[in-house]
This record gives sequence, structure tokens and C-alpha cells, in this order.
Amino acid sequence: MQSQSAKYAQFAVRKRLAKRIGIFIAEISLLVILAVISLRFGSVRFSTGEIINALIDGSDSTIRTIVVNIRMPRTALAILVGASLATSGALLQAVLRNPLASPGLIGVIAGASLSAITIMLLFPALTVLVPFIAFIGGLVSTLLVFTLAWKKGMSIIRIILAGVAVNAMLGGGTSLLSVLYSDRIQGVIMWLNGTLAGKSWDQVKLLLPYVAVGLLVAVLSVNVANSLQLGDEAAKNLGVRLNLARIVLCSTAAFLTGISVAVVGIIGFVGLIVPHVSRLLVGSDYRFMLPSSAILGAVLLVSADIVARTVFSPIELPVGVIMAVLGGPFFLYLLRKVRGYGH
Amino acid sequence: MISAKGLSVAYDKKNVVSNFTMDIKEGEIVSIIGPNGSGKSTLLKVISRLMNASNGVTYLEGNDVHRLPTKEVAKKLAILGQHNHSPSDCTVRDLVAYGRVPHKQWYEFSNYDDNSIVDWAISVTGLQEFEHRCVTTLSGGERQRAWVAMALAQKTKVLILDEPTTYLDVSHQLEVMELLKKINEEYKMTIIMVLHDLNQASKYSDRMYVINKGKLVMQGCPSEVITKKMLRDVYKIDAHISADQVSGKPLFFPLGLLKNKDTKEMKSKIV
Repeated sequence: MQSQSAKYAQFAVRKRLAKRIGIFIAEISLLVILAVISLRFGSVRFSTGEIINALIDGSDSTIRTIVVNIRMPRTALAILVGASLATSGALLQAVLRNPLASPGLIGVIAGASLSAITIMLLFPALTVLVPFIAFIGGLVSTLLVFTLAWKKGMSIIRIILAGVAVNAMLGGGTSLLSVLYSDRIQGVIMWLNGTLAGKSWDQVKLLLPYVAVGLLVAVLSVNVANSLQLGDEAAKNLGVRLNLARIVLCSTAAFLTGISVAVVGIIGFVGLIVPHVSRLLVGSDYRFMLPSSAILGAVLLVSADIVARTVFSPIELPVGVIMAVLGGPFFLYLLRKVRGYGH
Repeated sequence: MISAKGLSVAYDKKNVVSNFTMDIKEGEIVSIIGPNGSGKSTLLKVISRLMNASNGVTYLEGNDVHRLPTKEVAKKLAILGQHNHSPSDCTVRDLVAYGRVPHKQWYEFSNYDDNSIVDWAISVTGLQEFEHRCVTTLSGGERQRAWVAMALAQKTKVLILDEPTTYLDVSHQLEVMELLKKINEEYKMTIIMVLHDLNQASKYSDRMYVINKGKLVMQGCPSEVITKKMLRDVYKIDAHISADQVSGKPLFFPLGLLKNKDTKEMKSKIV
């Protein structure tokens, strides 16, 4: 009897692990396939063979130029930004233990928007500085949220409420500026909805080191994130320094979102939905859930970008819009299909 | 093992615990009793460093518990709160394995030793058959045992529990209490807990502390503590007290609330 149940137990453990590994393999394969599609499609279509030939022997320099200088950096950027935003959302959901937690909640996106739009509308001559200023703006408003939430330590509910209030104030500022300068708003719309158009290797190089550091910190904090899911007191009992953990995880999340938004503009949604999708697929253990979120974030953004630049070609749509239109129904489908989620 | 000297805790300048002193020896089972709102849970949180005291010090093996690194404390003392929740897909084994977190560096994965400690904690609590069930699908008693198993996996010398039997039916209450007794006897763990059921507290404790309105009323072995006078003073009830035929420990049977008049008379007598 004992040995039989032990056997069954062993089987259950293996089955779960096998399922998780299977899902990881599927996610990575999907990302690779999408990356290849992303290199093939655009205003001109190439076959995979043409791309490989052009890359290996450099026979056709036009294909090579388009693929290497335009589509590759764009795809790489989509991967980096998607992974960053999704990881950021996953970290915040662990710290705030709230299913609605997303990078937008802690003020970083609203701060980046307001500072970017101020520069673009009021000081158009300084537009080159938008990434830098948006990044600073995002971090400053995150800091503002934390400062307002701090009272002998940081409580979750105060972070959320302070975040909502700061978002409302900054959002009001953004709306005010767009009404006052409605004649100039056209140029800002793409940024406000997020776009990967016209990005080059420069942006990839700018983003890569920061994203690498942010993701590394995130991966190293999976045990802390797991403990936080058990509740504040249980986490503290396990030796987690609550305030330190909250500050480190929230700052990492803010940093990853801030740097992404600075480069590509506002892309919401990834950070909110992808961690949920990932949890539905591999479960809530952050050792699996966090890497899966990063991969799925990249998958989602790469696919949204493919759609954004092909459906109404040659007109490019903002990628954030595509993401909401396609991702929303997909998420709702998962929510309906997976039993027991949300309880 | 654990001692508290002059602990006071204030919420918004109102004292919830004032000048509380206790001294707990290694291997004891100690329960803290008192009416609702008397400061029992607050006291547990302070001695287990979950909350700061406004005054006084708690010593864990001679060191101030609030000055020790929190991770070091987690290897010596485990506290199980009243309300616990785990992610919906967290299995018993997953939960118990979290008990190993304090023993790991952030870059370390669980190794063979951790796994055998998790096995041990699961078998002590008799949860082998539920090992791969999700904690949220278990009954209240099984769930409580799973959390106790997590605390066991921390391999601490002290286990602190806040009302471990509340919300459980009587047989599951006994199951949890017997489990704690076994842990205490076989593994020499010091157990400190808040209990509401005075008969259970009497049956299973070596010593009891009575707290009322944040102040220590009395402490001692069950037969010194469970008295008509204590029940009148602290709980405002009239009770009949007898001795358990097997253990000789006191048992009480509540007869009724004291009438207002009695309370007044009693107060005037005390004055």
C-alpha cells in the first residue's frame, strides 16, 4: 500500500516536471519560429532560404541590409522589451500579491509618459533626449509612490493606493498637455501607444546591458518571490527581510519597465497579462513562472509587432494597440478554459 | 531559551501589551491564554520578531531577537500565524519545501539533505498520502498539519503557534495537539502557543501564562492557573473545576457568566 502510493507520488512529481519542461520547450520553439517569421515579413517578403543565403555568403546585399540592419534589431528589441515588461509584471504581482498589479501601477509608466510628452510637445528641439528623460521621469514617479507609501515600512495596500493616486495626477497632466497642444499631438501618438518602428542596433545596444542586469536580479530573487506569495508574516518567518525585498523587487520592476518604455514608448498589457498566462501554464512557482513569463513576453511582443507592420502595410500600427486587441481575447479564452484559476 | 523582559507594545499610543515578562525553558510546552483582545497574538508576534516592541527586549538563546539577522532567527524559531494562505496550485510538498528557504543562499537549489528533511517533516505530520495534493484542497486539519510540517522543515528549536486549533472540529483539534505533543517529546522542540480552549491548554501545557488587557495576570503550571478565581477575574465566568482522572490536570466546566452584581461585588472585594 505504502509503496504503491509512493510510486504514484513519484509518478505525479515526474508528470508535473515533464509538463513544465514540455511547456518551456514549446515556448522557446514558438519564440524561435516567430523570430524567423519576423525576419521574413515586412514591406518585402523573403523566404527563409534567401535570408540564410544572404547572411552566409552576402550574395544579395539588399536582403542582407534589410534583414541585418532593420529587421534583426527590431526583432531583438521586441524580445528584450517583451521579456522586461513581463518580468516586471511578474515581480510586482509577487510583491503586491494582487492580480491587477502591473508595471503601470507603481507610477513608472505614467511618469515616463508625462515627462516624454512634455519634451515632445513643449520642447520639440530636445526630442533626442526623450528616452533619457522618460527613464528619469519613470523612476522619479516610482520613487514618489514609494515615498508616499512609506510609513514605518511599506504596506502593500499603501503602495497600491499611492500608485493609483500618483497615476491619476500624472495622467491628468498628460491629458492636459495633449488638449493644450492638440495641434502637435500627431507626432506623439505613436510614442504613447508604443512602437518598434525605425529602431536600430543602437537602441538594442543601449537596452541590452540594463535588461541583462534587471533580468539577472529577477532570476536570483525567485525564492524571495515564492516566499512572499505565502503572505507577509509567513515570508518574514522564513527569514525574508520584507521591506528590503519589496524595495529591491519593486525597483527592479520599475527599472525594467522604465528602460523599456524609454526606448519604445508606452506598451501596457504585456506586464499585466503575461504573468497570468504563464501562471496558468506552468503554475505559480516562480522558479518556473518567472522565466516562462520572460519568454512569453518576448513571444507576445514579437508577434504583435509582426501583425502591427504587416496587416495594414505600408502603414504601421502602434504595437501596443495590437497587443490589447489580440492579447485580450486570448487571455479571456485561457481564463475560461483553465478550471480553478482565480479562486 | 526565550525570555522577554518588560515588553510593551503600543498601537497609536494605546498600550496593547504592557510590561510583560516571561521566561521559557528549553523543551517546555507553554500556552498563553486570555480573553479576546487581551494582547496574546501581539505578544507572540513581538517575541517572534514579526512586530517591534515599543519597550523591552526579547532574548532568544541570550541574543536580542530584533538585533539578530532575521534569517538566523528563522533557523532557530518558527512561527505559524492564525491565517495562512498558499497559492492555489501549491502542493503539500511544495509548501513544506519552503521551510528550507532560511537554510539556503539565494543562489542555492535544494539538495539531497533538504529533500530528506522535507520527507521527514511530511512523515512526522502523517501527510504522506497528501504529499502531492494541493494545500487548498485539503481539510482544515490536514492543512494545519501541512503548515506545521513547513515549520518543522525549518529545523528550529522553537515553534510558536497562534491559535493552531481554531476553526477545527474537536477530533482535528486533538490531532493537531497530539502532533505538537509528539514533536515536543520526540524532537525536544520548545512550543509556545496561544490557545482559546482552556481544557486543551491545561491538558497539553507544562506551564501557562494568563494575560488580560495586555498585562500578565499570573503564570504557572495548569493546576495553579486554572482556578475559579482566575476564571472569575479574567474571563468573568463562573465555573466548576475538577481534576482529570488520568493526568490529574485541572478541567473546567463553565456554569455561566457572572452577573453584573457579582462583578461589582467582586471588584469591591478586591478594592
